[in-house]
Amino acid sequence: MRILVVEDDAETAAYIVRGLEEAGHVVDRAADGQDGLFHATGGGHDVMVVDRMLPKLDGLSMVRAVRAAGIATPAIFLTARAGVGDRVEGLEAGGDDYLAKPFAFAELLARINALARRPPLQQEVTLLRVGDLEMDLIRRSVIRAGQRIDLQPREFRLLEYLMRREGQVVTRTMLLEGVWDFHFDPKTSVVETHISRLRAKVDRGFDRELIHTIRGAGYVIRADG
Amino acid sequence: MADTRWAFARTTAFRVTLLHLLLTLAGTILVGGGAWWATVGFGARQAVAEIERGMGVLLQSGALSGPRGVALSIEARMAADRSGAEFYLLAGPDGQRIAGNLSGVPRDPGWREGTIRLPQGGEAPVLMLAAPLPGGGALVVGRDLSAVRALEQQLLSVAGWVGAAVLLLGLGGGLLIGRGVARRAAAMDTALAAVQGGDLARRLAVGRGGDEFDRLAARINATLDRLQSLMVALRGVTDDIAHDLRTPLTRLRQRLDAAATSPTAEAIAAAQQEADAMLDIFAALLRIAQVESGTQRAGFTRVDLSAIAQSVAEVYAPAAEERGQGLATDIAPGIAITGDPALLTQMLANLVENAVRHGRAGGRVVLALGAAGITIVDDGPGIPATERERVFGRFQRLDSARSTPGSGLGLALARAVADLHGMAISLEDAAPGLRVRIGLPAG
Repeated sequence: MRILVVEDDAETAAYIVRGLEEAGHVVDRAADGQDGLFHATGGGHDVMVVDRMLPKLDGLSMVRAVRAAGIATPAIFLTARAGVGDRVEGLEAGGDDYLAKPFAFAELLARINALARRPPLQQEVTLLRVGDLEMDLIRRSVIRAGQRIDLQPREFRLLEYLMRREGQVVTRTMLLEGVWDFHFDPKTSVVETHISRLRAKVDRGFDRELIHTIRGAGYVIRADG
Repeated sequence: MADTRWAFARTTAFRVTLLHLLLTLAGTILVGGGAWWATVGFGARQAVAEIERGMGVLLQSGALSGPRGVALSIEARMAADRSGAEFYLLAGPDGQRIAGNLSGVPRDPGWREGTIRLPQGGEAPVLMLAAPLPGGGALVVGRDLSAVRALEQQLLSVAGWVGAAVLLLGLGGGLLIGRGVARRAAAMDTALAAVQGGDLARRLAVGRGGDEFDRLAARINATLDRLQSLMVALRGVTDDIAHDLRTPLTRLRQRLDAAATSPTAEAIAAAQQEADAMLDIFAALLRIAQVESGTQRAGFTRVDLSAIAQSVAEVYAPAAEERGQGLATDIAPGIAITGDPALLTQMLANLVENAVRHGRAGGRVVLALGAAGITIVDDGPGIPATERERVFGRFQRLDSARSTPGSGLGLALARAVADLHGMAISLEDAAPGLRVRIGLPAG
């Protein structure tokens, strides 16, 4: 993927660029909002990572200008401020995701992958399938290898969130935000317990595991190994 | 304030006084003009009308019976005039007076005003109309204007006095009002300057009158109260950070020292963990400060509190079950309040998390929501009555809880969020265990 990183702090920028390049991406870097806008309107990026506090043109204004120019490249805001209102502001300015500093690199990478692979507003899918696991979104039913699996509404949402991102690493925070609308980090390992319960229903008793733990990053659902 | 000589002219009081004075003067002039028109004007108009009528009658008698008839009419009229205010003159073609009490024939016909000597002595202002007669000669009819002129004099002098009085009263009153306004503004200015100078406890005097100045002063005082509490909160945060982050920082330092001598993956991971824990503390502190600042109130919406409580209970149910606890709920549906959904979620999550963590393993936690508010009850060791207020402070933890994970910020945040929403939060003895009670906001 081709990724634009707009970050004024040289050390943070280097950290992100190095990580992304190690993950096999091509990275353009801009150190201020104007430069970032110039790069972004040049087009050709799959995702842009934009710091909110930038010299010359702040991140919000930059993304607003990019959107005004009719460019829909998905954008992730980075911010040192993790206020609730700040998140909403970022999304309203045309951002697609929001990540508070400091963040684990795995978190940023997972979110970039999630954004880049987001299908461009296709028609609503009604059936999700991973290996022999099938989820019918209309009848709200889950079947694995012909066997019906009963899920609680929250478990259903968790599984749906994973299945919609088949093969993609999903982090704890992404699950907290996406499934439970928790925009903070609980001290109790709630995500782990929910995942282990879901596993008990979806994977236990079947020959192959679908839900995998990626150490230090999160979870992924996939059919092959 | 560069030119103090004109400082007074720039005050609102002066401008208002000036404008008020000008308007009052204009009003006085209008009233005076009306009086003039009704009295002096009326007298003059009446004189004109009488002269025209007299002239008409005399010309008519002249047309019927010649100059002789006119002379007779004049004699008759003069005889009938007791006031001596009527003047006539009939002159022949040679300019000789035939009849009347005026002397001197005017050269041109038409209106004129002049002064004549009265037969009984003295002078009088007279309005006269002269008309030529068909067979040569001229006719003059006049009226004494003394009464009108006297009235005019009187009116002028009254106008002068009244004008002076209005000017004086307006100016004096304006100055008096202006001084009062200026004095109160100056008092506010002095008090605010003291606040600006650092005396944050200084407040404006609020009178009992309840006028706009009092309301303004009350509003400014409320703003200052808010500012002061924010300053105190800010100072509190700084103090907390200074005191309570030293321990984890020292620990981080030690771990890094250990990693420097034997850089194993475990040693580095331990240091990272310590750094993460500190970042968490910072995030929590910032969030509490942000909530306490009250700025979030701008984003308040209608929130389904029942749905939030339900969701929080669902999130924590498996974690409770792992500890062998039952997480029971008694949530009345459809309870809505005005607030911030994310913060309310976090408040409930913190409290339920505490209850699950401190509750008895194998015990029971109950989350209830009803018209009376929210209660979260656990069956753990509870909190001694003397400590119940203290644990809401930042970094305040019971000694018995020091060994368990946690930053001592969860309850501080819960209190900040409750305060932000105008909800009262308190701790009670659930015998055994702890009951957290949160009232619903009014309205």
